[in-house]
Amino acid sequence: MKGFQKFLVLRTLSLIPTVLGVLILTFILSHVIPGNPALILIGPEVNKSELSIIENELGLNKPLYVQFFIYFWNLIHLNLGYDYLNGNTISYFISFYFPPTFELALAAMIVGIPIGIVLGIFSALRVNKTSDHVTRVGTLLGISMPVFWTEVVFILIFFLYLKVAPAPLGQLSLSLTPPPRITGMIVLDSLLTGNFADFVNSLWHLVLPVVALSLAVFATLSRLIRSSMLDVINKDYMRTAFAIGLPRNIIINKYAFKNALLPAITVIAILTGGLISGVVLTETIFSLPGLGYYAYTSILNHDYPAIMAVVMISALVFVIVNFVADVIYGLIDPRIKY
Amino acid sequence: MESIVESKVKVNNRDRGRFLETFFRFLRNPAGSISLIILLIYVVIAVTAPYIAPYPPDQINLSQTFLPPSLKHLFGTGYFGRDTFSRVLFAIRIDLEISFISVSLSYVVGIVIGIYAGYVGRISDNVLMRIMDILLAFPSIILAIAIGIAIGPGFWTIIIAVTVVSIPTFSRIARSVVLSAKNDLYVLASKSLGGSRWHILFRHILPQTISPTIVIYSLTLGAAIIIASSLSFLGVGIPPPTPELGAMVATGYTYLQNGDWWSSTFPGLFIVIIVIAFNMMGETIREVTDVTLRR
Amino acid sequence: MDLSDVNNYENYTLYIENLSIEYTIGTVRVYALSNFTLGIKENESIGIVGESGCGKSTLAMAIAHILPPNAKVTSGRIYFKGQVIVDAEMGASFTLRHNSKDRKIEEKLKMVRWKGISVIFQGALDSLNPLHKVGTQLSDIFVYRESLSKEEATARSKVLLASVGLDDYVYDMYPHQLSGGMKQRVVIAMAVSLRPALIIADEPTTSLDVITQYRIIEELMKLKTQYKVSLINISHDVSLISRLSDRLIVMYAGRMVEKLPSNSFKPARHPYTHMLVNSIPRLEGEISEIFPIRGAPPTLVERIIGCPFFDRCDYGSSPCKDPDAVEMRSISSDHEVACVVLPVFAKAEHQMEAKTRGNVGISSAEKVIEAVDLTKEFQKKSGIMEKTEVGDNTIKAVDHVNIYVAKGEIVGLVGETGSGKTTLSRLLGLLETPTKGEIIIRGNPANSLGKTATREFRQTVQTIFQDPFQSINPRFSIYDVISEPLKINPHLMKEESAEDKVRKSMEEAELTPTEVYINKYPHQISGGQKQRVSIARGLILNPEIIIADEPISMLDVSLRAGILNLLSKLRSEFNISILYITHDIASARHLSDRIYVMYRGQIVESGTSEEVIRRSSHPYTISLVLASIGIQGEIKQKLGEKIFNQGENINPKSCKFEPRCPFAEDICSETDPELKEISQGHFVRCHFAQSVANRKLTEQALIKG
Repeated sequence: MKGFQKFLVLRTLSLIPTVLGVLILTFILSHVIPGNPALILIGPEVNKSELSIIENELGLNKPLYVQFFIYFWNLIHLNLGYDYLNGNTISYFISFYFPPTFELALAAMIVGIPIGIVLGIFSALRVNKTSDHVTRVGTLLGISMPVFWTEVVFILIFFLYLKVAPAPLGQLSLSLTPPPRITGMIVLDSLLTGNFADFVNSLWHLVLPVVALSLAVFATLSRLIRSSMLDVINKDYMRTAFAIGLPRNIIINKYAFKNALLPAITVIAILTGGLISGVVLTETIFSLPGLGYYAYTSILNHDYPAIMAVVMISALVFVIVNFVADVIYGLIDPRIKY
Repeated sequence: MESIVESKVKVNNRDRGRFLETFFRFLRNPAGSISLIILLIYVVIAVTAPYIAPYPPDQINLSQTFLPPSLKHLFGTGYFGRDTFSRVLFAIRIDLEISFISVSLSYVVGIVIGIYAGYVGRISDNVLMRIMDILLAFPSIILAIAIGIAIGPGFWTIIIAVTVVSIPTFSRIARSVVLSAKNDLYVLASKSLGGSRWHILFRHILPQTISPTIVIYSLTLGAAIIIASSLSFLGVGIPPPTPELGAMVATGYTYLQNGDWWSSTFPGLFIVIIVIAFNMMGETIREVTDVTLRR
Repeated sequence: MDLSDVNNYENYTLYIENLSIEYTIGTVRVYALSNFTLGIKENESIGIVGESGCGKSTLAMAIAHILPPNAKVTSGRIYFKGQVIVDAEMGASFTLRHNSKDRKIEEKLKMVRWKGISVIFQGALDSLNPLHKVGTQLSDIFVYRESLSKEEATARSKVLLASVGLDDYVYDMYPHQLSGGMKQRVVIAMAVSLRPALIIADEPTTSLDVITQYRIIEELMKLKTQYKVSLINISHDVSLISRLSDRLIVMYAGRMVEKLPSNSFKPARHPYTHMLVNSIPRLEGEISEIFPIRGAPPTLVERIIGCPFFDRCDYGSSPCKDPDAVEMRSISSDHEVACVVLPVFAKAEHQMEAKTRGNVGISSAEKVIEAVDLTKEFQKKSGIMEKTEVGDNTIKAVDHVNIYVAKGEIVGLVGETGSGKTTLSRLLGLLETPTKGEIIIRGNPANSLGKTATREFRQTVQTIFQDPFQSINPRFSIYDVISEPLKINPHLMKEESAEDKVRKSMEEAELTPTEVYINKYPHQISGGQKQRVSIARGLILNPEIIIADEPISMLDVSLRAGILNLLSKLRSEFNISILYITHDIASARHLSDRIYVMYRGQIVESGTSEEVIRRSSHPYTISLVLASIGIQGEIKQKLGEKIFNQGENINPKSCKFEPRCPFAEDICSETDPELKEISQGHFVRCHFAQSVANRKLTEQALIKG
């Protein structure tokens, strides 16, 4: 597996400039462009002395590269700045809001990926039949609907008219008390503390947002799997498998699937990016307390440091996800290992 | 498994140099013609909005608030009593403007970067692609938010944000086309005839970059509308009272408790339709220009 | 169905009755196979020979019932041991559909697939799944078709691999880690695994080097004798096929045109077969003229009434256009031909006059191009796939090579993949820069100059590439392609207009009538014509030498002679020198005055073509010649098993051929030999050159033939 080790090392090394670049870009966006961050922090009504105090504190009169160094130094120490409007460090809020977002995203993946794969294989095996056409039209719709609209329509139909969904006002119905915070993920916490009512209720609250988010996931994924399978089926080595007379399910599952799955890994990683964006919108609409919600309220409050912190975290998470996907790809594809 | 016959037939279906033939094949494809019709309708709306809108889009009429759809107000009215239908017409204009301008800008910038990186290679390739990687490290809407915040709300903010976010895709595809074209045998042949780098670039490589990038152009138009409307939904894009489809959905959402379903549904619907059209168009172009000279 | 049919197909292992197959591609229909009838008995070996589009692959895939879904059986059926396995209703395609009709068909075919009929695909290509180990793919056959346990299956697989000469470690390898020859043997092992009654070998040796091809053929012959299977061998290589088969079928344009026993092609009676044989350069005997076949194989997108070969045939007449001209007629008990004319062929073997070869006195002529101590090194791709070689990280694709081509000479450069011949051709064509050494063109050094100076030399040296499809931009019209050099070098257009120059070039390249071709696009013309376009494009610059890098290896066999003759004509009429690069030693001998033999970056033998071929004195050259003649057992007899070794030597100081050489001794692994002149103009790179020369190994073989 010597080749794989080398591959791993190379990939990890190339991670560094990317991460650095992300930090630099966030720095540029948060410190260089907006003009005077101190002003933004305080508000338009200010007196000079207060302004210069804050400016000093933020080190704004120092040259740019020193500012960047301070920024970087702070980051290493997980100091993302202080959220004056909400009264705690930004890192606190980030870690506080991270688990619910993670829960939401994870749920969307858990639902979306299997459906996407199954749907993709299903339509590949029925090429050009009616069911395939129907699926193709459906998935086309799925990738063309903006997540926020889908969710508004869902709320309209399922909450307002059919009254089967809960009000989009958070993770839990107001009548229930939330479980004690262990992981920060409400479904998991209620499970862990044996709080059945909370468990069911929080799941119920997740249904609509997860369905909406996973829609985009499985729509894209199934299209990719479909075209990937079709590619693979036409390859010569599939013809060999047929000629041998291997059972149909072995041909599909063992031989075709693995080959078709390979590009899917890369795509799933890219989908995470869309998921992160979608989560911001979703949490806003359903008032779910997560990073997206935090970002939205920060936008409303013009709390720029908070927003940029969320932006940076999102990018870093995305970079890590892609890295992991690359590694998995390298593990599966023997042409990279050997 | 493809015989030479098959490849001949395939290329026959795509006589190069005949743009018109490709165009007609595009039209014969049902998805192609439908998407084109939709696009044309939208463009007509965008251009004629001031003339065909029954009411001015910002005309407030506090006695006519929250009226459901009727003949007088096709899409009903909202909180300020403004006619939703007229607002949608103007919003379509704004959104189309945003997407066409930003995608065209990113097309030009992205393709130039990609071709340069692919053709010149080495250090410039490494540097440029690193920058593209960094841009791609951010989920698009997130990056757009960041740029939008940094610059401040406004029409041109959205344009810049969407443009920057869309550049890497174009540069990647242009670069990969150039990289593979560089290795084509007829490029080597041209070199042996004395062809200079410029000659090879313009005669052999550039023409190849057109069809794959046109596909991406169409698909990116759809993505741009989604990004722009998402930004405006969050309040980062165009400030009110300018009508924008995503912003209208956002305000419409707050009216749901008043029983107003029309203020959020219709604007969003028009996003979906045009994005479907752009997606169908891009895919049809891809099918119709498939020149895989396989053996 | 009347009773006579019952008798007919019961006696045969495989009986194909009046089979016709069509493909539908979009709106176009391709008539791939028409009215094919053939019976194959037990333990019989049939060879099917034909060019691209003749229908042989379609036939093979139909028998194995693995045609793509867009294929339709429009008439006839196939019986396997009396049971119908292909007919219009069942089709002959594979499908992943799961409806009841398809399931019933697969049920019926279950016992036939692989247990009755198996296929040897071209293993070097995509036939093995890249994501699964080779061993898994082999043992899965046993697990799923014979219900063996995993351990039993693994054991059986390893035995199977051993039987084709592959060690146990191959079991755990992935396809991309194996060489072409090894992959081919894996595919053979797979085909034999369930002891089928019939094996179809579809182009089993294409894309392998000559010596490995020979080895594979041995494996295939073993199948006949050891396993007593019936064999269908499919190839475009006429001589290869006759070695393997008892009977030969010649196909053209989807039809059978001749059926005869294979011991010799001499009494071939169909004009196509006859003309085909006469268009191939022979290695044995005297050098004789080769006769091209005009035109190109038809594309089968429309039904052809009458004989499909009529347009290209030198013997055709009006009865050939009747529909029943395609019927097979018996000439004798085992010989049938589909020809109404049945011409008597004149003794069409001219001895080529020694004059036209003009090799005497060449050495005094001016050297057009010369490579002095030319070396090209590449960096080994850093470590994802690490090789076990010690030493520096460079690969010497071209290793201190000295060659030259004189005015009016045709020089052959013979080598296999990996010999460095392509790199050498790129260096000489000024398309790559050497690491060390010089290229001298017309007495002036050419490779160390700047861009503008190099440009001037470009006119002298033009290159024709191997792939006719890829060397022309598919978007350009023929006129665009040929006039491109004029656009690049406008100073050439002083006297005539561009169009005139283009037409003149087209005529020189025999691309006539020019009006017909000048506005066509590449996909509208055949491979041979595409090569002529490339040649015309090069000729327009008035070069002094044309480097032809494997110009015919990707062409259909019937189109090759035309290009070879054209190259010869360019020398005799225009005094243009040719550097003819190939892996095919027969055509090199046919065309060239002198030959260089290249192995792993070095010239191992050089001299006049007669010397190098008749009295080859380097073991590599000898094995190439013997493999190309392919006389049964000749290589093994004279040189032994070691020659099939693919191993590389770790020590960069040793002779590169040492791991494979039957004559190797200690000195060979210590010192790399120099080129020594063993007779007038004949150089050999071997410590034992003289003694090897004295054995005259190839002369015996050639003169015998």
